[in-house]
Amino acid sequence: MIYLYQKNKGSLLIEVLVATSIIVTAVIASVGVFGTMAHLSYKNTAKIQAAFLADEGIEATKTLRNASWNTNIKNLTIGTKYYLYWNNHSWNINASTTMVDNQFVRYFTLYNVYRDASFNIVASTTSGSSIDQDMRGLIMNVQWSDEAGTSTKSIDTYLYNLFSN
Amino acid sequence: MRFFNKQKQNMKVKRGGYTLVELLIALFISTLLAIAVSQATTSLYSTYKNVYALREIESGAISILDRLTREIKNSTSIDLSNSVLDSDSGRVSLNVASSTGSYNTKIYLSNSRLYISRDGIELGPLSPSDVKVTLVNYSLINSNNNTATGLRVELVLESPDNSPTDWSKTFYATAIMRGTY
Repeated sequence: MIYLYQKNKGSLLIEVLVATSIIVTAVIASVGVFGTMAHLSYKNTAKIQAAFLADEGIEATKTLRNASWNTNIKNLTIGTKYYLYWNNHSWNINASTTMVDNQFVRYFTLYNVYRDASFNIVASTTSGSSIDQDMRGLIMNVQWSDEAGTSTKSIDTYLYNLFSN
Repeated sequence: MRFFNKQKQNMKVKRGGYTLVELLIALFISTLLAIAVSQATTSLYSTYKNVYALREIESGAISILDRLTREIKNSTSIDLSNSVLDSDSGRVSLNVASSTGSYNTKIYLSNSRLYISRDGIELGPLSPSDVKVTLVNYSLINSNNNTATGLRVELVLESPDNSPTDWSKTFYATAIMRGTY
């Protein structure tokens, strides 16, 4: 009885410590979750940099298109990877891997655009369709690696022989 | 701790408080817990500062480059006499001629921030106040087709002074002056 009476008087020091330890462990674990979140958010900047690089790639191919469609775009092999690099105030195309800031790889591939008799863009399998020689499909890719593997951002658009040059 | 005392007659004495050893052990454990909590809080704070700094850099890059490329794409010609090209603290002055009127847009660096002005009237900063623009370099794109040139922009943004890690991120953008078409 005396024991029970004593028990009701309050918590033992050890009980308070056990409770505190459990709470502290829970708090530290939640800090760990925050750390994981922070780690993910550190990776976010690369995505934004890659998005701008892809966007820049589109404009860069357009400067090449503007300069001369026949010289710069028309002769490129469909499906081949081409890399862009900035040199001497102009955009240039390279067939071997070219890095941006030793972190990103930016390359593009071209594909043929097919049109039907009414000049609508159609699938290559459509009967009676033919390749539009003044247009190419353009896929701009930016690739980078982190510990989780390789990520890619792509933009798919069209290039047109705007200046008939 | 009282179960260390097996003799019942001692209980009454025990009830009065804790022994010095018990208190010391309790104090020791509490100190360990307090250290763990304070370290967790410190790392939480510096992580938060880092996340915040990177977010400011990201939003700074987006707001600067979105506006910059839009202004370049809008423009008809570049005002070379008021522009500083191929410099790490570059500035650009763009002329826009449209059916609704002509105006001039300048984008310039001041106290590590980029500002925009239209016809000499400052419109305000392009980037958050605590992100430092450490480099902005404009290059004119050579074009054998004179009617279609543009600018390439290199932008380096640095984290605020109170960031635990000194982040420095480089962004690139290229835009053709569509007004020259």
